[in-house]
Amino acid sequence: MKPDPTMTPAPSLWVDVTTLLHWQRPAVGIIRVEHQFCQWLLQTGQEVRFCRYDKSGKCFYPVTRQEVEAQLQRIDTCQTRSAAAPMPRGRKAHLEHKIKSSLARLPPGLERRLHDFLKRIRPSANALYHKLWVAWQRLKPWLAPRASAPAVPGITLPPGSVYVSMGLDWDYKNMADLYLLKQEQGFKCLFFCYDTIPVKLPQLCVADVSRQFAHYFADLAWAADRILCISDSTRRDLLELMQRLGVPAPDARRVHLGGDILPAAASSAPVSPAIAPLLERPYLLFVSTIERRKNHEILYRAYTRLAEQGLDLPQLVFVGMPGWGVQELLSDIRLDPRIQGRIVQLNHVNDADLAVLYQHARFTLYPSLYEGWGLPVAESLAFGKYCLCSSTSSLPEVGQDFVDYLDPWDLPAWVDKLRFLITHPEWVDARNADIAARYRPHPWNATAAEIYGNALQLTSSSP
Amino acid sequence: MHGGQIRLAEVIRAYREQGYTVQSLNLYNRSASAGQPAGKHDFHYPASTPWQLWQGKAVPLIEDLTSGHYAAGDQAAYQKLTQAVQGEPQLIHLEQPWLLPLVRRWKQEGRFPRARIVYGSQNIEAPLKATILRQYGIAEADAIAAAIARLEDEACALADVILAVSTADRAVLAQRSGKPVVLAANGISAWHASEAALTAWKSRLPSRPFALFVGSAHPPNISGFFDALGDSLGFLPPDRRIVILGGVGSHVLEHPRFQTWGPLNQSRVQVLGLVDEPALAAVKNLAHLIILPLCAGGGSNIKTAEALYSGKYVLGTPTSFRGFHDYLGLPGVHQAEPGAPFRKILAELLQCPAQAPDPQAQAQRQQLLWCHTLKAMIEAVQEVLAA
Repeated sequence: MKPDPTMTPAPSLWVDVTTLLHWQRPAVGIIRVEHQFCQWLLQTGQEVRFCRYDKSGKCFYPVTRQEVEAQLQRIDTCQTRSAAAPMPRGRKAHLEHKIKSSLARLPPGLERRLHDFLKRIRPSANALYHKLWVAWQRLKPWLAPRASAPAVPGITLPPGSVYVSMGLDWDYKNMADLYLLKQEQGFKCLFFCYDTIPVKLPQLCVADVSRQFAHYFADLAWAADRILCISDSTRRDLLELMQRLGVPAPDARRVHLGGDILPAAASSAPVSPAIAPLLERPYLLFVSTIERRKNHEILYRAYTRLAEQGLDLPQLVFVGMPGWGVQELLSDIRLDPRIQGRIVQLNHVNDADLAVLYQHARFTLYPSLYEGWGLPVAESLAFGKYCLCSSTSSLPEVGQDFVDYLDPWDLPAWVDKLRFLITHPEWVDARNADIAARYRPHPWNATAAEIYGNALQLTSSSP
Repeated sequence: MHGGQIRLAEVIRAYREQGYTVQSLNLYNRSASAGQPAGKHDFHYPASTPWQLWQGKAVPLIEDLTSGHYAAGDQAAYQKLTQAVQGEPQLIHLEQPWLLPLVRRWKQEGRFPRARIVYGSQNIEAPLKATILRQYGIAEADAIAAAIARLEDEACALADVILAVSTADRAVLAQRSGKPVVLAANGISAWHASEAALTAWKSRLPSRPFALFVGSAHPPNISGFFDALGDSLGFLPPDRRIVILGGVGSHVLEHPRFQTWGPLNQSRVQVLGLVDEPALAAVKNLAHLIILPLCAGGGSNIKTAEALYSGKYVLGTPTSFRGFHDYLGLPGVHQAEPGAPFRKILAELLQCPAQAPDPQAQAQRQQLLWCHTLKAMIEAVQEVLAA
């Protein structure tokens, strides 16, 4: 439904919650930022309006405070779903298993012939599977159910209003359309940049997203009155990219992300049955989506070497969803006899369970090849846990002098350091104690207030 | 028609308007003239003949050079071309140096002894060809350029009248030949866009102000686009477009430099391809700005004359304004170096209000019409014939 001019309210601050309304899992990464900001706005009673954006209709729709509260509540109560060890088999492995089971039910002659046929077509079937998967990922945002019925009329944002959007805008928005709407309606835009990794490190991303993201960032910069970057490193990367693309440099500022939400969640945490067995033995923790960029591989390789050296290894717990390009790695981990039962994966872990996992970890690991910020490092420190961390990108901004840094590609260094940390628990205890004594997590409330302050500044700035 | 063909057609028209009977002789190849009907004095230059080779080797992009060797060296071609000449011409106008070997052989064999020679240079071809061939990594680039330079020098030496299209070219030719050179600049024919064409094209073109780039598939047009604008068109706001008209469009889209930031660049251009004259007139009239991203080559650009005559904003490089420096002071006409300065002014102009009509400037633009630019050529020819 298109905007009704009579519904146009007075100039104000509009917060886009499109991404939040689509989210069906516990808050992670970008969703956490939107979640925390909205929660703070509601709790402190700020004078803001909420809206969502319909990409196909190029139109804003109002969202009530009650709808936002209900969605925050839904996200907060999402449960940790997947079980601990063994490693999940992955989509392809699952499909293979299904096919083999079905074949086994056929008469022996037919089974053999069909098996041989499937083996012959396997390479092309794999390619087809990959293409379908990529296509599905691209289609998903279009096919996702509308967060609320479009029964209410669309709205125009009054001239001088500030529109704040911090979600998965490359999925839910077309920045060129927003640029046009902004020109027509006269509002201002405050956007976020979490990283420019798809363009900076295209080899770590699926298919052609690099050039698509370059287009997105260029239009984002044109549409934005201000862009909040989540680290100095990301701000530098964004400005460097804009220079490469010839886009006028946007007003890009750094915003300091919070790191205190999980300790708060821990205070009231009932332990989920999915993680309870893990807590009975020492373990190391790596919280991150499982994808090539996060470099789980170096930990797998280091663990195999340490296992060959006969070291008694603590369990290594990966918390995060499997993403693109890691099926072979996950398969290796599942099948490698040297580390059987030593690496486990948890998926869809809620805040309460994650807090418990941080609390009981010996220390944490973060070998990522590149980051926009590195929230898990901040969370680790907030729980008083030492982190062995990659030295790249924004991570030194997060870990400061509380953690140790290694080149993420330097396998011998990771092997040596891990051996030392595993065999010197007293050293780790001392570092943990020092962190607990000195580290003060940045409060999410302060982050939210900082974002809000930026939006208010835009309200009063000249057009 | 490309610029050279337009110029030659106007030269012929100018002679005819003075009462001369004009007959044209032309060699053409089918790939370059696809879709255009051949006249009775257009002769086919076959692709398969050994005359296409350069010193026994197949070298691309030099059919113009080798066509002259074919015209004079292939006995059947020579006879056909010679027999096609009707009567005893008073004047042989050699447009470009390529068919000089044919004219040379006529001279050597004493044919058409009364004919005076006019050499019309559209470019200083030798350095231009060297640049193009080097871009394609052709090892013989320098040797071929030297052969073309010799051809140009000989054409000047043979000519009773030498024509240049710009003051810069005139200086080069005068210096090399030691003879006076007449400036016969490129011009344009006035165009008119019909209301019907304007209405039809308005609905197909961007609704916001757009820049127009008109160009053939001539390699300097393709490289000039990227040299002037860079690999990324992100300097344009999301609602602004460059409309590309002519054979250059598909080459721009397929170029690796365009593909580097393909989706972004695609969002900032609209490629129309080849269109007819009424459509071209309509699109020119609907453009907010005409750009001339030419960074290499000699001569002067007919597209520049058309852009200046349009009364729209015009943005060109120093190369593209060669021969038209007198018009740089016109309102709305901007010159910028390729790269960042060009991009900056382009983005700014696309966000300005439309160029307002200026009667004084409009009067000055009339000098761009062919009837004015070829006047000196006619005078020089009449003088030579009278002597």
